Amino acid sequence: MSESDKATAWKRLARLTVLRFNTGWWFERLAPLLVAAGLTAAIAIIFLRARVEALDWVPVSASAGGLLLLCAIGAFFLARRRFISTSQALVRLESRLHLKNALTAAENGIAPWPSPPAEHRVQDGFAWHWPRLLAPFGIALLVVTISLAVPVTRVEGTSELPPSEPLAWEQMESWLETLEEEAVLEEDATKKFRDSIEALRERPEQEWFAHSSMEATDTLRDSLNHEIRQLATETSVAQRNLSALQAYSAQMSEAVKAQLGAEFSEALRNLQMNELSLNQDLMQALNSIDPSKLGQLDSLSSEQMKQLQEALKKLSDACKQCSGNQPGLGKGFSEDETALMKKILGSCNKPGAGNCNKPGQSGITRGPGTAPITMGEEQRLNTDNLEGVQNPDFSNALPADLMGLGVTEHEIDETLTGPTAAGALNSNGQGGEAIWRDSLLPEDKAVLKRYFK
Amino acid sequence: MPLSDDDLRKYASEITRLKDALQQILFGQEHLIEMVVTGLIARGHILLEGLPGLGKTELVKGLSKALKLENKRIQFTPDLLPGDITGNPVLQETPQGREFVFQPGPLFANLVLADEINRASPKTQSALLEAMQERRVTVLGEAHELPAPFFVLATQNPIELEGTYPLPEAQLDRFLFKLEVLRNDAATLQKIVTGRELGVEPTLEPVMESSELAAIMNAAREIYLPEVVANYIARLVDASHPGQSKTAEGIKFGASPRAALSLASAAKSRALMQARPNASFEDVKAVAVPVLQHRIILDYNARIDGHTNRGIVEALLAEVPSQALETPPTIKETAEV
Repeated sequence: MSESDKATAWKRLARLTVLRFNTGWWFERLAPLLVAAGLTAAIAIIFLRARVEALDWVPVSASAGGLLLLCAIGAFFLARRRFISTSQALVRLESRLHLKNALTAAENGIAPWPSPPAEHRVQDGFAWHWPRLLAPFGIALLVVTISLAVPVTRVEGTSELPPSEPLAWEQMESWLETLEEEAVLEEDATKKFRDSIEALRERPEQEWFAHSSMEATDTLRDSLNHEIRQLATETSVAQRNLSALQAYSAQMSEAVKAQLGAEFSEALRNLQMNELSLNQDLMQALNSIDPSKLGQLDSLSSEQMKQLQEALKKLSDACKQCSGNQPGLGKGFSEDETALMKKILGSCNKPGAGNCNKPGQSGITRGPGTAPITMGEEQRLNTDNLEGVQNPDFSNALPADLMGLGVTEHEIDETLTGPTAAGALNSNGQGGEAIWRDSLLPEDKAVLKRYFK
Repeated sequence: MPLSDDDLRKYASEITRLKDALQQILFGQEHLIEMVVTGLIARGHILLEGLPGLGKTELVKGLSKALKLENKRIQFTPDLLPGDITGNPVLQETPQGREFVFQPGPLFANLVLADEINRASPKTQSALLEAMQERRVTVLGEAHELPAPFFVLATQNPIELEGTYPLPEAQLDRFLFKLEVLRNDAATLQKIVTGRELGVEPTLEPVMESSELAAIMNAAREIYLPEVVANYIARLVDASHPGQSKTAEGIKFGASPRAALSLASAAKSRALMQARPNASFEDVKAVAVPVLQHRIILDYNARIDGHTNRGIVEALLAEVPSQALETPPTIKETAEV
């Protein structure tokens, strides 16, 4: 084999080594990009499956291919600075084959090329680390497969919930509907309040709960509530006085009748001035009544009077119902709250619940419970009188016992310690102790301690 | 101009003859002889360390006989003065009157055997510094060139023995090799007992002229040192400094640039001895321990923990790869065949 043939053979082997080594680095740099690309593709696939009924595989495949190409190019640029040359591969080969740098010398023209190995297998000592090599591909493939297999709920356009409006509007509308159902108010009596509610509702949704809007709502609700309560009060007074005059006119004194009549007339005036005006028929019927003649003249038939009273009672109940549903306006406890109170009060005098009849005194069963049962009377242990015990026999005394007192002098250590300043001892000792203190570094001390342990 | 194959073979043959001759007088120390000859070709001074009676002096004497070089022996003692080895000016009667004439000391020889060098005081040891580095001595301001070639082969007893002074680091650095002379095994001892008589020196015929030795030493300089091998030497020496490698954690002071030059020179010599035109990683590894072990200074902790200089250098060789190649994790190294 000629020198050129040997050189060609060795360089071919070196190029194979270069290819394997550089590909190894390329795969190493590709791995994280591949996993990242797999995750990105999986997210994109899930996103598309949620929005598109049937995936068009052509653009999807093209995108995946483009992504892979980008990863491959990126990995090449990242791995490039670690690539080796043919000369370095020759050094690797001569090192593995124990050629004592003969290939490098031959490449530089110093020595002849050695004979290439008989077997053309590359003996560079490198082998693929398959688990490390295939893991990124496996992970990327697995992630993409999962994204294709996992069930995805289709997203049908936007399904935004209608914005909720302030509860007070709904409440006011409910009151107005209750009043309107009784059909005793003028048709347009509630219009003003409904218009106001609509005006609030027509404002932008994001302003419904703004401070100004809530203030206006509260004011409107207070106003409506006031009108309803006044309506309830006046109709109640009118209905009560009308009933009393109708039934007991004969037994009443003139003064009482005059007072009741004045109250009735006052109630009618107030009802006329109320924003929630009664319908014309009812107002006319009420206006036509002369309270001074009630019970004496049959100005109205008993049937008519009964219908009138029922109309007033229905309106009064409806108004009370409206105003009674609003908390904090002096209505007292609602039925639910009353039931709750009864429930609470009903639990009095039960074990652990206290005595309702003795507020602040607590109940007889309050506390840790019944005292534990004892099996008999306690014995008196006579612990009031304590007597000292003396032991004159010091031979058996315990170490801490006082055996006697005497007068002695302090033992003073007269070893020279040198002048001291601010409490510091200037003498560093002698011999090994001085070396230990002055010469050895902390790490030396640690080593010596470890050594002599 | 690279050496031809014929030249390489000729020089290798002559070196082999020298080694064979030395093996005639020192049995069972093939590796020691190999290293001494390597150091000689690399123009280096050699420090032999070992217990008395292991043949250190015999080896040096045999070397001088085989190379037909003038040799002097200096027995170092605690009262030896620097002038005793360099030489002194002596007042002499001359036709011009009385004047000081320089009387050369025992250093003026081709091969100086400094026996038990660590028994001399540091002052006397230091007197060798100039001679070993500059190959000359200066007395009363006058420099005197030493004969060429000039080699110092020093022997020393282990420093733990009584009455020894450790050599200063500067002087240790000037020795190319520090070689440990180990005791022989029973078979070799039997051979020595059979073939030798106490008090009778073995005879050895010269195998090489000084001119031939000079040619071999010049040829060693022509050996090609590949860039990758030079890089390996540089990384190896650099790794001996604290913080540069894991092994260097126990090293207080690493090897000097002179150590790197010595490694290169010794590797070239070894390549020539094997008739190769280039030095290699294997050559560097083979001479690394004798070149580096006396040039690194272990710290207190490492010494207390029982580490030796030799062990540290071997750990460095294991840690520093011959080729600075970072293998990707996707590729694994297979076991060497």
